[in-house]
This record gives sequence, structure tokens and C-alpha cells, in this order.
Amino acid sequence: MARFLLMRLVQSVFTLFLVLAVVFVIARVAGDPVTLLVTFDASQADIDRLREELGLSDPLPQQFVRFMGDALRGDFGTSFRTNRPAMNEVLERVPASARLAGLSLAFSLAISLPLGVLAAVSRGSVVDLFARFLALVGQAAPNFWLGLMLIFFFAVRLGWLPTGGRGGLDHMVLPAIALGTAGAASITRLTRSALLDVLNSDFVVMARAKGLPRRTVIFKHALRNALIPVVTILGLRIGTVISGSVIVETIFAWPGVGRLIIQAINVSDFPVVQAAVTLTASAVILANLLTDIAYMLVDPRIRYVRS
Amino acid sequence: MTEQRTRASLADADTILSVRNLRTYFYTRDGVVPAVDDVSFDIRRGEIVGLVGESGSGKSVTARSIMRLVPVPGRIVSGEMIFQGRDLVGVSEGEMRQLRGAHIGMVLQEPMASLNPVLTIGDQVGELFAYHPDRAPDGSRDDAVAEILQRVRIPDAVRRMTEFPLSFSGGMRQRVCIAIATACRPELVIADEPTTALDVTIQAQVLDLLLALRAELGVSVLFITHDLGVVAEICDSVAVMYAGKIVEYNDVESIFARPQHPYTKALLASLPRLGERLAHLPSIEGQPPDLGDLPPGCSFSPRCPAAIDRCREQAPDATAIPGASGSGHVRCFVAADMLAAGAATANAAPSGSTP
Repeated sequence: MARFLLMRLVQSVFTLFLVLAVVFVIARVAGDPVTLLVTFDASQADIDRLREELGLSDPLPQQFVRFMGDALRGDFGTSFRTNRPAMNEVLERVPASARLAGLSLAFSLAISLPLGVLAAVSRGSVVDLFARFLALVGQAAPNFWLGLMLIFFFAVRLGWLPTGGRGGLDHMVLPAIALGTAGAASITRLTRSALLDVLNSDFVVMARAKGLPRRTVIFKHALRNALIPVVTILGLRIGTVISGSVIVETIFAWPGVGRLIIQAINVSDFPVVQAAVTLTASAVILANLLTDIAYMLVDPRIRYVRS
Repeated sequence: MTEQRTRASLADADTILSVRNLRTYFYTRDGVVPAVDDVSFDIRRGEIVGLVGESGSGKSVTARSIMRLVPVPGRIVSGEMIFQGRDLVGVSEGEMRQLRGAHIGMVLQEPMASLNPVLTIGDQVGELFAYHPDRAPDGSRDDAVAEILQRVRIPDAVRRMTEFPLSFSGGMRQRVCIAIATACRPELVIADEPTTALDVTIQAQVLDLLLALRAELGVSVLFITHDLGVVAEICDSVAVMYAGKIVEYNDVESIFARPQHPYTKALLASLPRLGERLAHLPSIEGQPPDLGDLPPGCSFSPRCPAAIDRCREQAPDATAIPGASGSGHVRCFVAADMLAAGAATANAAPSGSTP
């Protein structure tokens, strides 16, 4: 188990290294940052001086090593826009994003787990039909469209909730739904099909043959096995939620990392983009690592694997 | 085996399960499939009854019917299953739940699939007591579980009960399943091909274990198998199933010494015998019929070497076998005629229709 964890840790670090390398390469390919920093009428001498200052005239390998060193210390340079450290700009936005992502995942789970279980145990019923319909629609609807529709109905027409912006829970409800619906849909489908599979297995027949009540058979014997694939998907959803937040936060003007990325891209504020991309990539890597650990806690078969 | 086999002398009051005219049909999209059709047999206290037949003959559905765990779209249509004075066909689901596990245990064919991979062995055995408190032993749950695992000869039981099924071999898992089935000292264990998935040496160990538990706990066993060799080894009486019906039912000696039904005869003829070397083992011509599309008359008639015209038109009823214990019967016109002729010459009472 310790060995498995160590392996996954090494993998995670390697993935992070690759992410940083890609960020570095893209920054060099996307254009000369110096031209963005200087005014139209800057002289060639000014440009050369700035390039020297920023270390951009050094050979690429040297730049790469310096970039990696800086990155590991969290130093991605200063924002062109605000002249403040890029990482600070990003970190300031993290709590808002984390709150939204957390709420949207909670929304996904609160809808999908009960609905998936109910659909599976009452297969073919009206509840099952409803759950399958909802799952289909939820997966098919793109989050930006859903966001706009939610704003249109609940904020503009009914006036129940704000259209967007910074604020408390009421400001988070609509973006969390827009961001969490796709997850709710896919987890509903997965929970339903995984539970149906497990309910047909011999050990469920055995559990029933022991005279256990239906509740115990479903929740103790079947659901724990059915949740193993659900945990995997949940880990992957975290990545989807983070990438989805770029669009949803922009639509709802929610002051999170996603909206910052869009703003920074619009003004070619590369240090901020690099810092934000690195941070979100790290978050996804961490989420995957945590998923594997959660997986291990649920399934003893993985706990005991020796490589 | 030195076990006493036939218990014909035991009184009928000792019957713990009496199945009468059980019919379990599957209502599929393609029509009604009579998986169990007019099945009757008895199980006496401490008796091991073999239920023999090819795959798809309705053995497992019979087992599931007794547990009232028939998978959808199957349903018990009619019949009686009198267990301890109660008709299992009619009892409520709540009552049935109290019987399952406590009074009737079940062992399935695939030990690798019958245990929950995410729960410890101890939990899977011990949880029975939480739901059957009247059958729970005094003292701690762990002690009881360890004792039960020792009873099925699992070495190092105290340590092993904290482990998960994945660290158990197939044979050991089947022992755990038998432990679960017998933990509450039930009156009846239904073993649905418990040795089929095991290799021969492990098979013998599991059979010995069942015999030992019968001696120790006085439990009766409905033993489902397609292996006549296993039947000869451990069963007291045998019901031979074909296409959803019991075609012959008698004590094990009579079945092997004087089989009545052509199907039983054919099955016995296809058993290899020690010391005989044959180029080909005799086998039964043809295929078992599709239960959803049975031939008219006797279901076995298309494959039957003894079939007469009547067999292809009319389905035979069960005819009591003279001298058989309990409700021994055969379902065959030809065999019934021969029995009647034999009975007439012996001047014995004519055989009536049973049950």
C-alpha cells in the first residue's frame, strides 16, 4: 500500500513537471512578451534592455532551468496589468473558485446519488424513466447555455436570484447548478448502471439468502461495490469542474480563477495565465491522487495489490 | 462413505420440507417458460436429497423458489412448499426474511462470486446474528464467528476473519459460504452445485464437510448437481429433473439399482465405469429441449429410445413406484406400464397416481 502510494506520488510529480514544461514552451511560442510590455514608440535599445532584464536573451535551456526554479518557488513573474506577483493574483481568487467548485460538486452528488440508487432499485418505473431522461438532458446541455438559461429564468424573469457577481450563497446558487448539472447527470447514470450490475451479482443473492432486509442488501452490500466506479468518475469530475469554471465564472461574473484566466488572456497577461494554468493543473493532479487514495479505502482489492 | 444413507424407516413427521406441485414460470417477452413444472418431493430431517439434471432443467429455479428468490421475470405460479408447518408459497416477505439464513441456508455455485469483495469474512458471517438474534449464540460476535469458521475447518480462523475474500482460495471461500449457510444452525441447506466450480480434491473435501455438518447439526440438504458420482457419494434420495419436471424420484439405492425412467437409465449408462475402456462414452442423443418451446407429450419423447406413440401425444403423470419410500415416483407411460405389470405378477397393491 505504501509502495502504491509512493508510485502514485512519483507519477504526480512527473505529471506536474510535464505541465510546467508545456506552460514554458507555450509562453515562448505564443509571441514575444516584450512587444506587449513596451509602448509603440519604444526604441530598439529599450526593447533589448528589457529583454536582457527579463532574461529572454539567454539560451532556451538556461531559461527553462530558471523558469522551473522560479516556478517551484511559486514565482511566475509579475502581472503586466497590475505589476503584482502573478501567483498572488491567482491565489487571491482561489477561495472563490474553491467555494463554487465545492458547491457544484455537492449539488451534483446530492442529486445524482439518491436519484441513481432510486432508479436502479425501481428499474423500469416512472422514477427510473425520469432519472434517465434527466441524465440525458443534463449531459447534453452545455454549461454556458445552461448558465444563460438559468440567468434568464431565475434572475431576469423571476428575479429570485442575482444574475451574477461577487457575493454570498445566493450569488453561488445559479453558477453552481450550471457547473454541476453535467456531473449530476453522468454520476446518476453511472450510479444507476453500476448498482444494477451489482444487484445481479451472486453476493447480493447471498446477502438476500441470509435474510437481510432490502435496505441492508442495497446500502451495505450493493452500494459500496457500486460506488467504486463512481469514486473514479468523481475524481475526473473535479478536473471537468475546474475547466468548466472558466466559462461559468465568466458568464456569472464570479471572481474566481476561471474568470481571471479569461481576463488575463484578453490582455495577454502571460505571467498570470501561466500561474493560473500551473495552479489549476496541480489541483487536478492532486484531485486524481486523492481519488486513488479514496479508491483504496473503498476497495480492499486495491489495498492489497503488491506490485 | 460409511454414512447411513436411506432413511426410509423414518416417519413422515420427520419431513421438514414438502414440495407439492410447484410451478415457477418465467414471463418473458417471447412467452411463458415453465422452468419448474409440477415438481413434488420431500426432504426429511437429516436427509440429503439430490436434485439432478442437465443445465436448464429447472434445478436452480427450484432452489430459488424454495428461498423465494426467483429472479425476475420469474414467479411462483402455484403449488405448496410446506416448511415447519408453513406454506412458503404464501408467507409474507417479512416472514420469509426471518426464515432465510436462520432456518434455510443457501450455498451457490461460484464461490469466487458469492462473497462480497469489500466486506471482511467476519462481517459477512457475523451479520447473520444481527438479523437473526433468536439464533445468535451467547457471548461475543467474534467468538461465535471464529467458532463457526472452525466448524467448517478454516485454519487460523481468528486471524482470517479479519481478512477480505480476495485472500481466500476458491475452496476456502466455499467453506466460508457453507459457514454462512449453517451459521444459524438451520434445518435446511440448499446447496446449488456447490462443488461444480471446484477441482476434484477440493470437491471431495467440501462433500466431506457437508456430511460432517449433517452429522454434527442434523441439517437436511437439498443438493443440486449434475454429477451422478457426487449423488452416489452423499445423497439419500434423488430427484431427476428434465425440462422443468421431476421425471423420477426415489431413494438413491433404488435409482442406481433399478432406474425406471428412460432418461435416468440413459444418464446412468453415460457414467464411465472403472476398469472399462470404451472408445466413446455412451451419450444421450439429441439436445435438451427449449423450455419456451417444448415438444408435445412427454418432453423427453424426442430423445427417448423407449418412446411409444402415446408419449408424443400425452404428458405422463407421476406414478408411484411400488415399495419406494415416501413419495417416490416416475413420470413415464412405459415405466408405469412395466411397474403395473410387475406389481400384478407380484400380486401387490396396484399403483396409484401420486402425489
